[in-house]
Amino acid sequence: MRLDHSNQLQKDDLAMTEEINILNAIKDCFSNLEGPDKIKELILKAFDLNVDESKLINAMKDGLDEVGKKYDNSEYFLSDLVMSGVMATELTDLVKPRLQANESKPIGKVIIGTVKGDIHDIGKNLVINILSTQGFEVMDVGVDIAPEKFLESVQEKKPDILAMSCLLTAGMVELSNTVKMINEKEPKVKTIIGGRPLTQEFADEIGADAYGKDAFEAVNIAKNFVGEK
Amino acid sequence: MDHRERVLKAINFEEPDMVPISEIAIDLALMERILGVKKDITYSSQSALIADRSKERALYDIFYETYTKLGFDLIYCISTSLPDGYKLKKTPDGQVMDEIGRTYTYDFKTKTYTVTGTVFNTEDDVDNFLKTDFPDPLATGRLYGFEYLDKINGGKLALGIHIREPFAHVWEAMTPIKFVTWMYKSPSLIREFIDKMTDFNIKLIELLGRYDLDIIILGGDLCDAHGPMLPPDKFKSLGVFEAMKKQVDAAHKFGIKFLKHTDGQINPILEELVDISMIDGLHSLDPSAGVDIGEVKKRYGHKLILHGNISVDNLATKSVDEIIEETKNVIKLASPGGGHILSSSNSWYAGGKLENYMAMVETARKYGKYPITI
Repeated sequence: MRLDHSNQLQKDDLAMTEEINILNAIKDCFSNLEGPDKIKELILKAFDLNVDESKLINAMKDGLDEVGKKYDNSEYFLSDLVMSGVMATELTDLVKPRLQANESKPIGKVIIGTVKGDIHDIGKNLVINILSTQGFEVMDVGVDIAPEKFLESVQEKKPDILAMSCLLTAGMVELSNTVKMINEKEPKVKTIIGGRPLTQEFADEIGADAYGKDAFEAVNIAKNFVGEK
Repeated sequence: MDHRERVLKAINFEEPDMVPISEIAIDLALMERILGVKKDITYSSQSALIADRSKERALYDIFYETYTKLGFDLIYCISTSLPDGYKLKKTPDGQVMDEIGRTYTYDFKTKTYTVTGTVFNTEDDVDNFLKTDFPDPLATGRLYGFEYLDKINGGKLALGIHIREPFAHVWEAMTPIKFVTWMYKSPSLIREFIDKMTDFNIKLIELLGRYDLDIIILGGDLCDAHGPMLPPDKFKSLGVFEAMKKQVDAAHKFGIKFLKHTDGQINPILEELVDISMIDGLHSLDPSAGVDIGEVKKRYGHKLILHGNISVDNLATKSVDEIIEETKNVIKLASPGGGHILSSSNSWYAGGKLENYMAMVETARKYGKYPITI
């Protein structure tokens, strides 16, 4: 009996080691941007090892944090952020069906769109990708969205946060109008703005709750906002 | 000194009588405000999209009237043309599609089309397109708009043309997500597309060399506010800098200056653009991304024409007094010794303040007289 018990302990240790190894590999796969095929291979291996899905999501979050740091340090570039988003989508597409069975609850609800006068969507789509992988429910209302349309969506969907992207200076006036409208009609909803011509100074001037200088900062701000609830 | 002489002096690093002024483009809605007219036309700076020749002529008429009214010294043909008889295709959901598979959304505010999608879903789609449907640069009518502009200009203003960066063509034609995915998975496909677009541009340049053209500006961004859009080694492995060098060489055969436009923080790839691509100049020098035109002038002012860089963001948001100060400062830093064409750091957007644009021009005329004494 003692021998059997020892064998079981060894098996448990081995399983735990394998789990730690696969979770580290997933984190490193993101951090080193090893690509969607590699992440798929690792996730399928993790499924074989019966690793809890929430641990896979956390390993991805840790990897994405590393990507964010490398981007901040100018070690990574826009295409690297796009690649991390592609990999995150691959992972969540594989893991989501299993997570839904466990009825995991989103940590917050975000409406996101590009402001009127602007039809660019790279930045917006990056933020959507990362927010989704961080446990937010994200509703994309698209591009060239008028203030009234943002307000309508907010009143209908009751989000915690309204995130707005603006790449062109042409959109800045409409962005300001939208923030003012939301502050007046739906003051409990937090507003986050981001995009090439925007600054913290501009965010302060128009009364936005926050300015995210890049996709990762925007997501960290969103996490802080829902943590305040 | 006439407009063209002013530009030619400046781009040959001599001091003309005053700093030349131009813009790569002005949004149609803004040109309508400047001229007090309304036109039933549109355009895109990213691709040839006007199939109706009368509308194309009307576009260049309004450009020319605006540029001469503003007293600009240099006018750009915003795009090469669609071939004679070309019928624009539409996607099943009604979006306009260009010759290389990009789909466009119309922006009512600026009256321009901007790329928002692609018809390519798979690598095979791209491969088939490259093998069977790739457009012919030598198709008749390719320079229709350019020839029309050249004719109405009659050598009064210096003449430039905007052609598109092969990398930007491919990035947009695939959309960023597919570009990045395939850049790792099938880099040879991306490279082949870039190479074909480079050959396309070189043939265009050889056509353009028959005309009295002063400047080619290669549009399409390589950088965003954070830095290069791709890791610099990826730009190198995809042959982006070498492809540019081939286009520079083609332009030089005809004595045409070759400038590169890009928004964003360009410092990390500035050396490659100068030493590998050997461009003649840079447009934009995006101050919102932290590019300091004074620093670039110190490092490369002897061999790079600087085309910029009054912040488009400030033109949209700051006061007239602030724009006057910014314009004076740019002239002080970039204009001495020639080699400077004053412009905004992108183009004049419809959303900007007209009074600020006018202040930029008036200040340049007032303080841009050589010798610069600011």
